[in-house]
Amino acid sequence: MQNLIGIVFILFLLAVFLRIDFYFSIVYLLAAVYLLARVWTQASWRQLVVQRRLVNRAFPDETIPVELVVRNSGRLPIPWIEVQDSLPVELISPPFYREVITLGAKQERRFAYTLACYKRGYYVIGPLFMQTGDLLGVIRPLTMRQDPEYVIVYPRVLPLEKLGLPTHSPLAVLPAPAPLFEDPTRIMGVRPYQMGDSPRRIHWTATAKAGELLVKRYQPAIARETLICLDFAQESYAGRRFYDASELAIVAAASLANHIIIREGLAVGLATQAVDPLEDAATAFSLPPRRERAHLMSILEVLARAQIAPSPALPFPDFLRQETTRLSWGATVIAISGTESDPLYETLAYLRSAGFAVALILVMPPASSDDHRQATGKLPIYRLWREANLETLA
Amino acid sequence: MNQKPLRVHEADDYLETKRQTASVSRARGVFPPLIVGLMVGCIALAITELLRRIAPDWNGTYFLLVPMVAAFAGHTTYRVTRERYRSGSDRLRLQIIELAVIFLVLKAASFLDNTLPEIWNDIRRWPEDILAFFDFETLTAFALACAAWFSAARTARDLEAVADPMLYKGETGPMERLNQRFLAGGLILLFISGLTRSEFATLLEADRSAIHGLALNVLVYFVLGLLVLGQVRLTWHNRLWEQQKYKVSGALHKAWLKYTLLFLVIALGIAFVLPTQYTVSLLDIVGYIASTIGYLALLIFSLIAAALQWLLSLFPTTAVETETLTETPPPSTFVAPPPTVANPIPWLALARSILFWIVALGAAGYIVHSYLKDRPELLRAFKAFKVTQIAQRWWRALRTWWRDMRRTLRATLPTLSLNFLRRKERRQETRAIRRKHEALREQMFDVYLETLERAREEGFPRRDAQTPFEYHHTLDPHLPEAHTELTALTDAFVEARYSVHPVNEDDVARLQANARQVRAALAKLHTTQESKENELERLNV
Repeated sequence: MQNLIGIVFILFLLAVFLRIDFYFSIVYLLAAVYLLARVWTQASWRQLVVQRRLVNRAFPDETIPVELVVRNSGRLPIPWIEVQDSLPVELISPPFYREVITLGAKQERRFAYTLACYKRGYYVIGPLFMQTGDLLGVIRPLTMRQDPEYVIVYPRVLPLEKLGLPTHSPLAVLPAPAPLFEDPTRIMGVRPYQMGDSPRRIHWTATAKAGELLVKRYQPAIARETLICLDFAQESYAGRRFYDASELAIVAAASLANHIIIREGLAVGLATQAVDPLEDAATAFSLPPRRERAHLMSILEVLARAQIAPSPALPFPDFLRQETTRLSWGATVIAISGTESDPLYETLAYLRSAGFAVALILVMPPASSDDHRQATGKLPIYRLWREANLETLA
Repeated sequence: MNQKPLRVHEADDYLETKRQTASVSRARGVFPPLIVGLMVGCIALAITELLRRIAPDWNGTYFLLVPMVAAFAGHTTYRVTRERYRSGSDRLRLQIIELAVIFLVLKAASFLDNTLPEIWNDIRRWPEDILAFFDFETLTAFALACAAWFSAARTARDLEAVADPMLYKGETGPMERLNQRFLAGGLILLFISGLTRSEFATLLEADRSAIHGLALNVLVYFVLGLLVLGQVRLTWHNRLWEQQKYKVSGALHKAWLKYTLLFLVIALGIAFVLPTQYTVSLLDIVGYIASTIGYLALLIFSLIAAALQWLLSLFPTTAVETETLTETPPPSTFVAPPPTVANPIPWLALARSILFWIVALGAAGYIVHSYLKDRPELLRAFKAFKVTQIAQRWWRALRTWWRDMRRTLRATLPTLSLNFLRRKERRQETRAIRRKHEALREQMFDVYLETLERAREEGFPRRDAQTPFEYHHTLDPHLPEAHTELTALTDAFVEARYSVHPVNEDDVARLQANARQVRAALAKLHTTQESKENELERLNV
C-alpha cells in the first residue's frame, strides 16, 4: 500500500478532469485511509508511556522481579505493539522478552519476568524496543527505544573462616584496634595531669585557662586503615582454572572488605586495574579507605563490575607502589594476586620497610617450597586454592 | 503445590490457542473466497451495466452471477488441488477440466430462459454450425468467468504465500502482488463505472456537466478490499511474530478486526461528508478571487482620489480660473466599475466550491508532503530540479518578507499607538494647563480692575484712551509709598493681558499682594485727605 499516494493523486486528477462524483468519493476514501493511518498511528504513539520497574542491586542467588508497564495515556487505541526487551543471557533464558499486544484508550498492560542472579556482574537490561504501525501497512512502522537499565549483582561475600583467612589482628593482616604509638603533631584533646606525665605534654594555654594542670592527648600514630590491592590482570590468572581463580580473588577481596568494615568497624579501601563495562576499557579503580557501610557497597559495586583486564596500564607491583603513596604510615596493605613473582615480593618488602603492615593472598595452588617467602623474611602469605573455597563459587 | 495452578493456566492457554487456531482456519476456508467472490461481483456488476448499454438483449443477471461463482470456484479449487495433488501436470489437468465444466455450465445456463423446443432446435444446429455452440454471449461470459477464476486462484495462492512462505520458497512479495491486484481491480472498476455513467461523445468536452450519483458497487469493492488487506496484513505479521518467537496476545485478532472496521467506518464517514461537487472550477475561483482583490484595490484608490479632489476644492481660486473651470465640464467622480463577471455565481455555490478546493488541495498537499517526508532520497532528487529550486527561492523570499513584515508591524504598531496616546495625553494636558492659565489670567485682570475701581473711587479714574502705563504715570505721583507695588502691578497686568507667557499662582499671589499695597496706599491717601478736610473745616469754623 506504499504506492497508495500515487493512485490517489492520479484518481484525483481523473476526478477533476472527468467530473464524476463517485471518483471523488473513492479519492476521499483512499486519502482518508492514508491520512487516518498516519495521524492515528503517530498521535497514539506519542501517548505511549513505558516504564520498567526493577531493583537494580542483588546478591548472588537472589532473584529480581521485573515489571514492564506499557500504558496508552491517549484516547486513541493502539491496534498493535511489538514489545521486545533484550536481557542478559546470564540472568534469564531466552535472553529476550517478546510480546505483541493491543492497547485500548487509557489502557495499560503489565508484563512480569524474573531475573535469576547467579553470577556477579554488571548487566544491561534492555534496551526496550517497541514498534507499531497502521492496520493496512500504509505507512512505515514507528519504533521507540527506551534506554537500557543496569543491574549489579554483587560478588559473593563469605566469612573469612571459610576462605581460610585469619580474622583478627595478631596474625598481622588486619590493623590493631589498640594504639601503639602516638603522633605529637595531631592533638586529640586534653586530660588532667597524672603523676609521671612528661612536662612536655602539658598544655600550658589550657592549664592557664582551666586553673589546673592539663596534658595533651595525641592521636595514635599507626593508621588503622587497610587497602586491598587486587591484581586482576589476565596474565596473573593464566591456567586451566583461570575463571575460577579470578572469581575467587574477587570473593576474597569482597569478603575481606566486608569483614573489616562490618566486623572490625575499620576503614578499608580498594585499588585494582580492571575492565569496566561502563567504559568498556581497562580502568584503574582507586577507592580510598573509609569505614562507612555505604563505602562497602561502593567497593562491592566495583568488584561486581570488574572484569579481567587483558593488558593493564601498570604491572601489579608498580600499581601497588603507586596506590600506597597516599596511605598513612602504619596502614595495612593486602595484596591479592593469582601469581607470585620477584618484583611483587620486592615491592611488598619495600612497603614493609616503609612502615606498612603487608600481607599477600595468593589465589593459586600451594607451592612445594616457599622460596620466595624465605626470601622476604616474615611476610605473611595466604594461599586460596582449596576445593572447598572453589565450591563456594558454584 | 506451586506447579498445579501453573499447569491449569498452561492448559487453559493451550485450549484457548487451539480454539483460536480452529476458528481462524475455519474463517480462512470460508471468508476469503466469499469476499473475493463479492469483490469480483462488484466488477462484474459494472461490466454488466456496460454490456447492457452495448447489448441490451443480453441477460444481465447471468453476466453478474457467472464471474462471482467462477471466482468462488477458482479460490476453492486452488486450495483443494494444492492440498490433494503434488504434481503440476495433475493440477493443470484438473484446472483445464474445471474450465471446460464451467463452459458447459455456462452454455447450459444460457438456455435457462428458453423453451425446450428452442433448446432442441439450437442443439440440432450445432453439428452444422459450430458458431451456434460457441456463440458470442457464452464466449463473453466464459471470458469473464476465466478472468475471475484466474484472478481468484492467484489471489488464493498469494494469500497462502503470505500465511506460509515455506509453501512457495524463493518467491517474494505476495503482499505487494495482492495490493497491486486490489488497486488494479479498483482502477478497472472505476474506469468501467465511469464509462457506463458518462456519454462517450462528450467525455472530453470541457463544458459538459458533472456526473452525479454514487456507485455503490465501487464503494463496496474498495471497502471489502481494504478489509481483506487489513486481515492479510495481520496474517503477515502473525507469520513474522511466530518466526521471531513473539508471544501474541489473545485479544489481538479480535481487536485488529474491530479497529479495521472502525478505521474504515471513519474513512467512509469522511468520504461521505466531504463535498464531491463543485460548480466553479479551480481556475475560475482563482480568477474570481483575483478580480475581487483588484476591485477592492480600485475602490480604495477611488476613495483616495475623491478625498484629494475634495481637499483641492477647498483652495480659493481666481475668477479667471473659476471661469475657466466653469467652462470645462466638471470632473466625473471616479466610480469603480462593478466586477465584470460574465455569469453571476451564487454565493452558496461559490462557498461550496471554495470549500471543495481547499479540502482537495489541502489533502493533496498534505499527502504529497508526508509522502516526500517519508522518502528523503526522493525529496532530495525533487529538490535538485531547477524549477523546484527557483520555487523554493521564491517561497523563502516570500516567507522572509512576511517574517520581516510581521516583525516590523510588531515593532511599529506599539510605538505608533504609544506616540498617539502620548500626543493625546499631551494635548489634554495642554488644554487643562491652558484652562488653568486662562483662569489665573482672568483672576489677575479682576484684581487689577478692582484696584482701578478703588482708585476711581479715590478720585483717580482711568480714561478710556489711557494705556495702563499712562494711567500708572497718572496715579504714581499720588502714591509715592506704593511706587514699587504700583509699578509691579502695572507690569504684571500688561504681561498677563498682552503676552502669551504662562501665568501661575505665584504671579497671581504677587499681583494680589501688590494690589493690596496699592489699595492700602489709596486708603491711606483717602484718610489723609479726610483729616486734612476735617482740619480745614475746624479752622474754618
